[in-house]
Amino acid sequence: MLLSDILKLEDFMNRKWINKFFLLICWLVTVASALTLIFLLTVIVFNGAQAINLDFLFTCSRDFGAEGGIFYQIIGSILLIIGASLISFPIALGTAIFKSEYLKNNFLQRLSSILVYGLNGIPSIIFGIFGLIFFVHFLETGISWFVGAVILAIMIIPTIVLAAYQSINSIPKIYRDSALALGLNRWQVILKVVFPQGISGAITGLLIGAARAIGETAPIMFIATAFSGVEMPGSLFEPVTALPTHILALAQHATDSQALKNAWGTSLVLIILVFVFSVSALFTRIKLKPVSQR
Amino acid sequence: MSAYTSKIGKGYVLSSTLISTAMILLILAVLFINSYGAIIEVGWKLFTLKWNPPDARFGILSMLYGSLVVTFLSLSIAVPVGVLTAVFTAEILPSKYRIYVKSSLELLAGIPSIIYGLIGVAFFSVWIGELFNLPSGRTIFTAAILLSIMILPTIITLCDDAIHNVPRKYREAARGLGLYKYEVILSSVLPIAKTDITGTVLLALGRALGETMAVMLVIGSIDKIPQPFYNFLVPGQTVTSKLGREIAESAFGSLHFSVMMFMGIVLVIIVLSLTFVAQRYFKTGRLYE
Amino acid sequence: MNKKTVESSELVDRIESPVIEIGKFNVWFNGIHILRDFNMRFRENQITCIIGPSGSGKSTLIRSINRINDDVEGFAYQGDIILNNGHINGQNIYHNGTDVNLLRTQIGMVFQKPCVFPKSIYENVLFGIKYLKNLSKQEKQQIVEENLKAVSLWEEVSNRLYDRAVTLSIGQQQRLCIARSLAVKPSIILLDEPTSSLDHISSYAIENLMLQLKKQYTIIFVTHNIFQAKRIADYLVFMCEGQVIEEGTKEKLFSNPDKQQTGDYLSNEYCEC
Repeated sequence: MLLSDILKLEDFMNRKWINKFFLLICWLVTVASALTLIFLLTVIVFNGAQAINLDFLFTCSRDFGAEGGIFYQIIGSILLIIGASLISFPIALGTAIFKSEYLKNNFLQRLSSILVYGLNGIPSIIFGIFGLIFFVHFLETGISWFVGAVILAIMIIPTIVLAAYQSINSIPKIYRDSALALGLNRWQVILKVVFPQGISGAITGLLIGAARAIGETAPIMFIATAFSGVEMPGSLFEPVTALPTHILALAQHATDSQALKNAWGTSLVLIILVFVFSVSALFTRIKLKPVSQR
Repeated sequence: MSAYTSKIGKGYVLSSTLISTAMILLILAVLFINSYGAIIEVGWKLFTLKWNPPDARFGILSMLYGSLVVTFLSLSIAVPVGVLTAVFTAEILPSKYRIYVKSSLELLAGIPSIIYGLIGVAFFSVWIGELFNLPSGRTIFTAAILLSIMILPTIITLCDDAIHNVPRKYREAARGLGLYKYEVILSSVLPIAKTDITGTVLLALGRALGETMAVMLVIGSIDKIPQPFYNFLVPGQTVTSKLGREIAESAFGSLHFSVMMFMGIVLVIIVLSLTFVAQRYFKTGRLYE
Repeated sequence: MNKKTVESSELVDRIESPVIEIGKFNVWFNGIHILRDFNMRFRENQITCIIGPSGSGKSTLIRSINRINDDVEGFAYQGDIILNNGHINGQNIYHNGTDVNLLRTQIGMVFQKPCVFPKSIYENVLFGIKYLKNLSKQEKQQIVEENLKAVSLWEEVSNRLYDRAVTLSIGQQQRLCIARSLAVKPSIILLDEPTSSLDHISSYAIENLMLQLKKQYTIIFVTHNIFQAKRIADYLVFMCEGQVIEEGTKEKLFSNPDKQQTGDYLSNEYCEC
């Protein structure tokens, strides 16, 4: 029954050292990851801060962006996001409501999930190409900010649908049953019970989607933006200039130090906007928590 | 509230759903239709090496090779680093720090890819050019490194979830038998987290394949397979970087354009399949992200 | 499987030195005081049942013995636990230089919910021991057979050793867990309500198993089932709110307890500590 008949102390010492070694490796790798990622953030913030001043933010760019500020780029990006939100929100909300209230067949549920969420997996450049073929050439809309908004809307619809759907799904059955018991018909139940829940979920999804969309270059670079001479678009069908495409343009001239400096400034502004959306999403997720989960 | 309103309501949600479900089919259809010309006219010659549109040479192999190499290279760096880091954050780090780590990772995962491209242009290509004494720092290797840093936060956070979700009882049972911490992790925790980790890797694979902006700026855009094929310190081309650079220059409706669409649809099919398969692996409901 | 009648135990008042000696042991979890000045001596080769209402600290107590609480965040302790099992003699297991992993190979633990690893039955039995010694294929086969026989599982699974362990019934899984612990050759076995997830028949099987094993092992068995304690215990420890209320042989506590609370709990399962 003694332990000594089944092991030697040396075996134990060996395992001890392997253990220490393994934990050390994990630690070192983590430090390497952390340092890399900290480096990233520092570089952006540090370089960007040097470029930003009120002048930069509010004047327009000159000389293909190598000079001047990014006023119209900021406006352009915001315009695109607002457009994308207005288009995607109702469609996504409607889809989420339909999925949860009207779609009872299991097969159709899974099919709709695949078709809607599959959109999330499509690389962003494909969205750009699609927009180019379908809107710019086929529908002959030309390069316009409206098309950009539509494409971005298509990109973020799955995110909003998912968030709204999860929110609606968490409504306990009792709320719906009470409403039905009071004699409301199906659509009235939806309006009174499902809609409010769905909207709060959809808002969270929208903010998450916006955080992603505002940073996207590939979907809009062929179809919505031009690099110079663009100010406020006069109508729906004119091109616009935006932050990520501006960075792209400047990055092509990386040898010009002023261009590079402006690129960092633009990057910092872009990241701040992404950050604002992400934090708002977190905020709404908590604040607009479904009644049932408070 | 009349039946009329009810009808409008139903119409609204139904049409919304039809739009959102039709989108992906529409996109695929558009791509396919526009690539049809290439399939018919170029056919098997698509899979050759030389790319020279004015000369009617449309060999896309260099691009496919580039995509393959960049993706696998970046994953072979990011996956081990990511998994080991996730082991650290899930098993070794005290839980009070977890929330800071998770939030930081989410923040980093949200950085737009163009900014990674900028960093690649401003720093990595310069460093790699100097380190290896190259005429240009824009190489396949540079793209791979940049890509691995890009997908690292996502891999860490998903693997961390996978490991963290392994029920406590498995660790305790193994500990109770006298196993050291590394033995518990390797023989008890990781095997259970294996499916979720696999799903993560597949998802990362899909994202890496589809990444355009960062790769486009640092890969050097040369349509050649390196000589020898394993020399990654030379410029190259991926499907995405090709699309990014040349779409604007190719005339709509031309054969050139058609071949580009063909590359696009190949890309989409592969990425969608990967994403689809990845979902089957996630058992803890981390779906569709 | 026949339900054997359980023998009544003899008076167990051994004079030999106790296998485990707990002295003035306190445990806090995140500042909450769970075990208070706990003193106990566990005797060799008997079944000591620890009983008491939920939250009395029974699990915490035995988890402190194999130091598995060390992994839980917020754990703090004070006091000694001294082991006298032939290999570690007279040493406080909370002493700084203690090799905890070695300790745990000498103290087996069986948890409330059977926890089989996602591997074959064969590999589960070998899970702990394969780290301690390089085993030849023959030795492995022998160990698997020996320990599965010891828990009366061999006939049921000998023809499907390489099937995944999760295909076993819950009762069989729990016995597999015991076999796994036995393979490491401990001298003490700790059990934390091992039958509470099981049906009656499996529970009885495990109880009978304990009665056989006590000849070779020291068994400490936590249970909230008083009838179970009555069936298998040699010695009883009644705990409430982190302290020992009363301890003694089964006969004494059931027929003539010293404390009012003991009597209350044993007859009505009600305790006002």
